[in-house]
Amino acid sequence: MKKDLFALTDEELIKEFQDNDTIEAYEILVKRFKDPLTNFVYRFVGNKDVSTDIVQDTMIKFYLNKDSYKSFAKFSTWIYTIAGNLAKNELKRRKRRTILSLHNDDEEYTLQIEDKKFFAPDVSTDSSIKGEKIQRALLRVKPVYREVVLLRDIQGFSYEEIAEITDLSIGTVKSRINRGRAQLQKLLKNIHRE
Amino acid sequence: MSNNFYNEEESQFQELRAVLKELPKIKAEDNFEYNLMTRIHNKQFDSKLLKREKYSLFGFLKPAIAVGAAATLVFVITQNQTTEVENPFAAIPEVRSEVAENGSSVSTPKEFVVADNMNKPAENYASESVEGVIQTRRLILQDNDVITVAQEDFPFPDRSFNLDARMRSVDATTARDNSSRVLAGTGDPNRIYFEGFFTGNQSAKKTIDSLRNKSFRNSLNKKLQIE
Repeated sequence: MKKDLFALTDEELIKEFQDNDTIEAYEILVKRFKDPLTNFVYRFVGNKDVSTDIVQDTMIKFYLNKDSYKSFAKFSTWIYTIAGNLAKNELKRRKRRTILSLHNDDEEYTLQIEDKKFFAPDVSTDSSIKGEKIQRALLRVKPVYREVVLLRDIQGFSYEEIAEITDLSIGTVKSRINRGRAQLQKLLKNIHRE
Repeated sequence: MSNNFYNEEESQFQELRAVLKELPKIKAEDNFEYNLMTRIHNKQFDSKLLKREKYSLFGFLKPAIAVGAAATLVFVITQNQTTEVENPFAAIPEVRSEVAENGSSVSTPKEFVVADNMNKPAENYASESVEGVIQTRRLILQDNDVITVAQEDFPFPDRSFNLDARMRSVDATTARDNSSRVLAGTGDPNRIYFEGFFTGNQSAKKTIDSLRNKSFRNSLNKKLQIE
């Protein structure tokens, strides 16, 4: 039975979970999406602990609201929508905290990028330094542009899928991706000068 | 058509896209699934992010609490320490009665010693001083301006010296009576200090004028002789 579940597509698995409340189907979906979601959320918020919590909450929402998924949509776009919304809410909360608090939380979060344990062990030091610089630049891009650039250039979604995840028109997605990339390129040039 | 359009857009940032693709993939923690399934099993569905938010709100209040405590401390300290210096020229002087009431416990009454035989003739005065039986009156001036009189023997009859009587006997031309102050005895801190000698009677005006004329004439003659 378990072998058969592994062979199922994402949509079939969630259908199984919805219809028969099969917890194994849920676990397989978690196993499939925990890493890409963590990667996406981490690149978006720039904090390891927060990104882990966001992905945990995403999976909890998925567990509790499985029936809100409609079969005509792709499961990946649905789960990314949940994760993206939670990440955006977290950014808003953090912005509010930064305004109210004397202490700048962003600085603390940026420092966490240097946690080498979080990267795969085969990653060399040079590439990790380069990765930190890119991550810093990404965090300085406006969140509305950052989200679509990440979905397109790191997660590899199509324009249509991104439009579905973000609930935007394809034209808006396209322009945001372009603006985001332009901002990022400019920032990366400045970083290389430093 | 749409694919071509996308390709044009993508080609503009080809280098950037390659850099982003090279970024290391971040993986979830090893115990991610275990933690998730434990939460589901225990029905702990409340968001960890909101818990973090509550904690952060307390953290946000910490500096405010510290500032408030510091301000209270400074206020308490400065309230107890008045650094204002009173300008003595601007201060309103106290009423005498108030000063007497306030300082009654600290101040000591002033005492004036007056010889009992001050109105007696000089010869008697001297003879009495030799005998050493001078009676004195102690006039005590209280803070409330009440003067009390206490009669007592002169404290040091052997050691004191009646200067008035002595001066009368030596220089009879200078008339002095006992209206001037009497030299007081020594050793008693309540006694008034000796303040010098005073003439008792005014010299005759005619005598003074004649002396002045005489000295003026003398000085004029001297000047003429020099010239």
